[in-house]
Amino acid sequence: MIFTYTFYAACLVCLVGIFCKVRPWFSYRIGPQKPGFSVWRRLGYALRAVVRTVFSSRIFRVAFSLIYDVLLQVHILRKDPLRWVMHFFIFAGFMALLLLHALEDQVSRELFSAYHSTVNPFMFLRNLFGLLVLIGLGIAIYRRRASRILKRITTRADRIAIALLLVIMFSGFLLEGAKIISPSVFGSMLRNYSGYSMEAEGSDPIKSYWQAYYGAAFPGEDLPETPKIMEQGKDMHVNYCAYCHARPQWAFVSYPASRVMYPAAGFLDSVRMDVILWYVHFLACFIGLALLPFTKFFHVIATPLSLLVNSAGPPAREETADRLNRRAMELDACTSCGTCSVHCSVAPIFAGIENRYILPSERLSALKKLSAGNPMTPGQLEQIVEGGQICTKCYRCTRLCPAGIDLQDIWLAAEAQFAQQGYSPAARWIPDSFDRDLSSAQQKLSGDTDLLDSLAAVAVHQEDFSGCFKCKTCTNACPVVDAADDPLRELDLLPHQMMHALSLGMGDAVLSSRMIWSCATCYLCQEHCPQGVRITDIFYGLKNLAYRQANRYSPN
Amino acid sequence: MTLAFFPGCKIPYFCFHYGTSTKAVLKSLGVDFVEPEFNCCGYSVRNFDLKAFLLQSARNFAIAEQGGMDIVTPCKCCFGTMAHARHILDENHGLRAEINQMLAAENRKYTGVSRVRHLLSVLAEDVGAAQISAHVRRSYHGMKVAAHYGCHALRPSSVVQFDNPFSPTIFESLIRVTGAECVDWEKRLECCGQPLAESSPELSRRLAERKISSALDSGADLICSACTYCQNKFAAVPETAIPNILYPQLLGLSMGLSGRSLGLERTSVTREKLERFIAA
Repeated sequence: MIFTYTFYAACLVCLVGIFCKVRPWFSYRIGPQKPGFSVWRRLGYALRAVVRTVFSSRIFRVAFSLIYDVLLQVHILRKDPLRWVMHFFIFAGFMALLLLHALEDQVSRELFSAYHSTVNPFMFLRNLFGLLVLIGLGIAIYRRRASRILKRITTRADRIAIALLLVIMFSGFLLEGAKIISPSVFGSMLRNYSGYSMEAEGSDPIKSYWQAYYGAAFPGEDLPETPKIMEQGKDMHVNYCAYCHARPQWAFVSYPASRVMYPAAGFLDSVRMDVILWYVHFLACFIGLALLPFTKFFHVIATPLSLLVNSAGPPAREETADRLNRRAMELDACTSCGTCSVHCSVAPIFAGIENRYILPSERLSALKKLSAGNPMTPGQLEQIVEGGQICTKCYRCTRLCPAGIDLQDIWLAAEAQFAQQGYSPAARWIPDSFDRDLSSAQQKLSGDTDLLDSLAAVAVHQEDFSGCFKCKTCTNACPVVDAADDPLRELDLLPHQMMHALSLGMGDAVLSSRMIWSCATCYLCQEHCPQGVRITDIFYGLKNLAYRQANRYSPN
Repeated sequence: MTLAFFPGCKIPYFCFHYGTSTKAVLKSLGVDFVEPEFNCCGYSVRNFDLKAFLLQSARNFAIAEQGGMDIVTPCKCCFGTMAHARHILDENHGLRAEINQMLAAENRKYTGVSRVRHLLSVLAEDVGAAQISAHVRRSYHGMKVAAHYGCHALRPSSVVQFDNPFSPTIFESLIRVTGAECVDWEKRLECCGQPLAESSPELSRRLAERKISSALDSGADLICSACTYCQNKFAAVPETAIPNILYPQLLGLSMGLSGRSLGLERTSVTREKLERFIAA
């Protein structure tokens, strides 16, 4: 009864959860705000897109992708065989167990008239599929511990998913093992299935036989194993048991487990460990079912969908409801497998600049939280924008994403959205005011650090600029100065003035001038300088320093 | 010798045809190259953090060193960035040790054995103009090209050692191999404006426009660049501007390579226009 009720409760939670998760696919928005699309309108667009795809030649591409990408996952195999083994073992093993074992009444019995969970090949296969899942989980754990980046991005959601699967698998194997050695289970099998009558024949011979060949345990009972009794037991076994029971050794994982439990068989049977494990096993499964929409498991719905939708072809170039729907759906398709972050071409920077949102997987999950309306501090927002700015949009994550997520589209849309909200990348660094009264700026640098020390920290030293004799060659060579209508007003300080101000120790003035952020880094000044002053390199150093000063958010 | 091809971050999505055309040209000229998985050269953080920038470049060198290869890149910004990083790492042993400590976390090490080279240097120095012209089957006639040098390859010359910073010749000599003529133009060695696209979009646009009008004034039929960033900048200015083309496209067409691998449909120069100069 508990089984039935919890099952229906889990189904209900799952369905409600799926509804709650799917609805945002038509309301979450990544991209610049435009006169909006309502949820209904976006739903309409989505249905129209589906119908249009189904009744076009693109349906063949989608069907191909269903086999190639969703079922066989060839795209993962090509890029990372170990990852494929991991994922395919978990996926195939679990699906097979679901159909063969969990849905045995609905599937196995319908397909195979001779189906019995205790006969071969089903007994063997159940163990095989369970082992596949365990191997897959083992690789998953190993990968997440071995890779520095995966280690960094592994979250509670990943651990919960792996832990829940481990509980399901281990409880399953232990349950089978406990049943093998349980006298109670043996007794009820005899009573309920064999149709033999204990009164007429007694139970010793069959027990002796099963103890000898079927791994059964009868603690406290002294069962003789004389040839005669064994012969008798064999006859009984053939008559009553053999037709629906293979040797438990075929359960090649559960059987060894039963051998480990064997010495404690009496105690385990007295507490009915088989019953306890059965509860653990099915409750874990039902918890998984109920949590499916709210955990990483939701990717079993969203990821195939993302692969199939993207196989139908790229979305329209312009900002449409289809694009918004796709992006929102793709946020759920991410399994946080970390492929993007492991291969990210700016990921190594993470070792130098402490901003987790440099990593694509982290940025994506932040965007998901943002579109869900989760509150973020301005500091967090700035970090997310900065992560997006350091990202070079090199397209590698999009090419490699096993879930087929068009990350590039999401990055570009998010960038446009942030720009619209006033979070343009440049806004953070470029000062909005410059104090023209330079007399007060002398010898000053924001805070109380000495200018030369601060400069040394960004690899600029006094001798780098002290050679300047103010000939203005740098300023005359500068194409930016040349292109400006009113250089002093647009740039605040000209290159030669910058060098002069540095010599005078006017830290605030050089750091707050727009010159450093307007430098095109063309190195014409430096190349032409008769004194060998490394002007452009000094500007790089000053930008580094300004960045450090602006970077007042606390690193994560 | 085998080279490690470094496409840089802007090719795969924003300038795909530069990658395909470069590889097509290198292949038909018999230049061996492999494509390891590199990371960004460090350009994207050079403004913000010296060490992060050095780490990025050093990691790329470490990858190339493992295969005992030099790096070849078609992007002048990637080239300049990595050449600069190498210069700093070779001069400043403290920084080098620090960077190597960071690399040690993934069992990599920068030793400074591998160099970074720009595509044009490989073509001019390794393959050589004579060898290239042997592959040119369909010369251009009467086509005037403005060679755009690209700042980060040229300067600072003491660091990048690409060509004479005041009167370079390498690009023109490679363009002439195709039969095209080169024009002398005022802003030949100046910036395309791309580095300011984010921080000062207005200045960035002005630099690009001045550059393009300078090329127009010189009577050029098109601008030829050999840098992903410069090309993307030129491609971003309105259609009224002078057509622009990437060097491997210009060379590839004269070598008779397929238009598909050259990606001519993705530039502002129509294939017909180029063919007119070949037919003449």
